[in-house]
Amino acid sequence: MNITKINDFIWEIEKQDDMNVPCRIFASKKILDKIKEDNSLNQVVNVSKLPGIINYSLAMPDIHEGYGFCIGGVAAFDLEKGIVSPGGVGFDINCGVRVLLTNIKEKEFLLKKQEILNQIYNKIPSGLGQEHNLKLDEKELDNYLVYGAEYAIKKGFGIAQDLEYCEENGKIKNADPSKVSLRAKKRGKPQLGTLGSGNHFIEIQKISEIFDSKIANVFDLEKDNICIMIHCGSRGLGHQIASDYIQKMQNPELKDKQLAYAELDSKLAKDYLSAMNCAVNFAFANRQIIMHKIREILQAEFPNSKNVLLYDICHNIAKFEEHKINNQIKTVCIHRKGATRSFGPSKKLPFKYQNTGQPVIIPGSMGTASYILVGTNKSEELSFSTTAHGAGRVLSRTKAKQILSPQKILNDLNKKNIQLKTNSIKDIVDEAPETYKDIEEVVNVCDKLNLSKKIAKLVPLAVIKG
Amino acid sequence: MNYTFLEHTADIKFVAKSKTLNKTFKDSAYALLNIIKEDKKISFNKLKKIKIKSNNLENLLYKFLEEFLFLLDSQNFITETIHNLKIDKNNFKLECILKGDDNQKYNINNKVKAITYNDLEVKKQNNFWLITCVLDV
Repeated sequence: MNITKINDFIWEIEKQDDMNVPCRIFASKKILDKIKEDNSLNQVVNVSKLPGIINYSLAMPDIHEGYGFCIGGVAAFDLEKGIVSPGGVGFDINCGVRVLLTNIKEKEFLLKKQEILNQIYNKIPSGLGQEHNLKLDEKELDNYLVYGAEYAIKKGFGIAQDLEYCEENGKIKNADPSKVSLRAKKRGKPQLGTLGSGNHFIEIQKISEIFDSKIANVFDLEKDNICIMIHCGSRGLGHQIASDYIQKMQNPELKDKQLAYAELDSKLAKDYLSAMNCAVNFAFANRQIIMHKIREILQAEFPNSKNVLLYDICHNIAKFEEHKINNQIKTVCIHRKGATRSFGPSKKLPFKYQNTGQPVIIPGSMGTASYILVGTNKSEELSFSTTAHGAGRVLSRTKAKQILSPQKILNDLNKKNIQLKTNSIKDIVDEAPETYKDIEEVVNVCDKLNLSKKIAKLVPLAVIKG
Repeated sequence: MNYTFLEHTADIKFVAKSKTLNKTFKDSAYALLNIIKEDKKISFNKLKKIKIKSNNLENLLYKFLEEFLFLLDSQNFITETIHNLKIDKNNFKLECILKGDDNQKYNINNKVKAITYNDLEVKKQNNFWLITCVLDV
């Protein structure tokens, strides 16, 4: 594979054979060398062969091997000639992250740390086998699928203002529950308001460093304040929707079955998008319910605290967005699989962020820092307004289990004074910092390329894992 | 059990190999269940009968494995053993009985999001059936 260096952080695989467009990888030399070891780059090339792909098949700096698309894979498709691929969204539809800002200072928080951690752990079911107590019936579930976080707020989980600070206002349009299988609904029903396992987490962090005080001010980020990061998705409902439609889109001619797709103007594509949007809304509602419960706990412990949603962003999604393509504004179907929208200053954003760009949240791995960045206009030019979504895995879970012990990871967290609560001590090996890329490296590539700019650094004080 | 786990950066990949298709299907399911249960031993308190129909062997395996995730998420049922597995290779049909229990008793989480088509293979090589599968975790 011939990789050309465009500059220190952009690498291109030129168009050849049956590729429709070239590929571009945003990475440092160090990251690039690492990903050459697995199948990631082949996956970026496979995406470039899909019909109707526009400009480039892209990979963000946290790229790593996935299935179908790589994680960190981004592609935009023409509405007439293009396609939608469930493998370009992933199984955990609208897996995403939000940050709840507080005006609680670290000093005050530390006095009640254990108590708050216990309460969060007890009130928010993390994995399976701990069902929520929402007692949904079929109709109620459908309301969540159509109205997302808006419906959660209607049911008392939050305040109207929260919606303004969610991508798509917490409710994506064109969600049709009749396109969601009964199996998917049955899997999702007991899981609304639950965190899930794997890489999902709730983290209590403090803002440890500000890089741009002007924008930090607009974002209400103040040094030494506590904030809560929530990372989760659409649970079994989304997984089953993805699976159902990947199966429906199988045909014998596919080279990579996981890259199954449907032409955007087909009924199957429309059905998938209508079902996928239901999972998007389920995930918005899920994060909203979880955040609300945390807010209630904080307000009870700190009656004078102000707890405000900074932003909620999607990591795994396909949707219609307007982008400037060859100097023309065009609506495209953008796929982001393990990637974050990164709008610069724009009227499309909530009023508060119209002059700055949107907040971008990039969580680090367990026990390491996370970052708040701001979206840029440059990202529109480079990546259909997209940036990285996390640290990106480097080590397989199989390998991690061989070389790391849970006790070592616990000791490392202890040394940093980070408290951990989890259902399964064994599983924390999968999420150890050693299994991920260095978050600083990923964030710095984003910053240097202007895909998104660093605003603040957050360090963990306590973490809850499913 | 004849299965092994292989390297895959983001996910879990396994290979199962046996002389009969029946045993290879079973072992694939046990590989999946191994990931979910780790080494927890489940008592037999509940029974499920499953019937699956598909259009080729790979899709049949996909649906078979997915059933374990479905039962776990929707009915809190964790499987310990698989019995009376019958596979109709020509019509791509399968049925079996699962013995297991309520997963909540064992604090078992479902960490497998989905079965994937990535590298999914069901093939006969010499005298052996070989299944390769990647799980999204």
